[in-house]
Amino acid sequence: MRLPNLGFRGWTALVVFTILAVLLVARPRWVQRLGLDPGEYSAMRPAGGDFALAGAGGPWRLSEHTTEGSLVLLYFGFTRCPDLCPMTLGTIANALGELPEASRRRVQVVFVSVDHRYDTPASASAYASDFGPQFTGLTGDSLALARVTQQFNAAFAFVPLPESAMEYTVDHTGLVYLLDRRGLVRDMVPTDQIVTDLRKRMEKLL
Amino acid sequence: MRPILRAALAALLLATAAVAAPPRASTVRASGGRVALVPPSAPNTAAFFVLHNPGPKPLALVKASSPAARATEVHDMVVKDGKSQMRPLARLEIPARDSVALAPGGRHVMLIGLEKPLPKGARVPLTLTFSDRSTLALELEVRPAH
Repeated sequence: MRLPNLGFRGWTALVVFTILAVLLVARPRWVQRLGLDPGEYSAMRPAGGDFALAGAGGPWRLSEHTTEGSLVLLYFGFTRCPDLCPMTLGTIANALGELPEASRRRVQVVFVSVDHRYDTPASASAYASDFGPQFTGLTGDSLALARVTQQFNAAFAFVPLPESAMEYTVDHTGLVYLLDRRGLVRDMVPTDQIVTDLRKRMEKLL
Repeated sequence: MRPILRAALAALLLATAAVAAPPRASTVRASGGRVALVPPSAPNTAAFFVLHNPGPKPLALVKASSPAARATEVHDMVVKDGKSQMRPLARLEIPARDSVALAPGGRHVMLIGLEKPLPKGARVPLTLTFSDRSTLALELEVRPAH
């Protein structure tokens, strides 16, 4: 059998591409540790973008509420959530309180309820605004919510709880997204890290 | 009265006394208790505390009740595949001479369907029942949970 005539550059390219392909497919642990894992990276940093849902005042589009230098914190949850959602929004409110006034004014917090069976734009809005003047609460129908959560690689699922008075719960992505004025994702902080990390990661972008 | 009737009556009295007997105070102790402050529009909230079982036998929290809510349940919160998932717990084991923490982002007693909004500083009665049928009555203050 004769080897194909690829030339020196051809062979080098083949070897390099083969190594890259192996790393991509096998994803050895050290690649993941370095944070260079392409699979993890794309899953971890969705593009995001502008989005439209409904708030207390009717249709609400992100880009109509931001200006140059805006920083938007986006969080998906639901108002019947007793633990994680109030804790997350409360921690965000505390972190905002620690920012200098000029920076704080550039930050907006958007709470999106993914529980479209229970929440309405009015209930999501009333819930969010209780955490501070910068908080906006939104929701939408299942189609609108599916579209927005997809943009952010976020997920939610209705799970029946037959043995609970809650009847059902909504599993949802536990991330706070940091967005620019166009909704592009600049950073993401897992809810279990917001107490320690959120303020400094906001400051980096302000 | 016939002896058999007398015995039946005595048994009935005994049973009534047993049922009516005040619940036994538990040996389990609670510390660091509070109810999470949530917006007035929120229909539910959660209670957190640390339970300590000083006894030589393992116990379990099997029931919680409070007049502040329509239903009171023990729930667990776990993160799976990046998603936060809340599930009811039928019982929460407390090993002998050990403690179990109910804390934000994890296990909690969920107050479902609040009778009225619970402002900061309000006090919420909560009764816990354990696997040995003993009970522990708490009064927890409403404050930011974290």
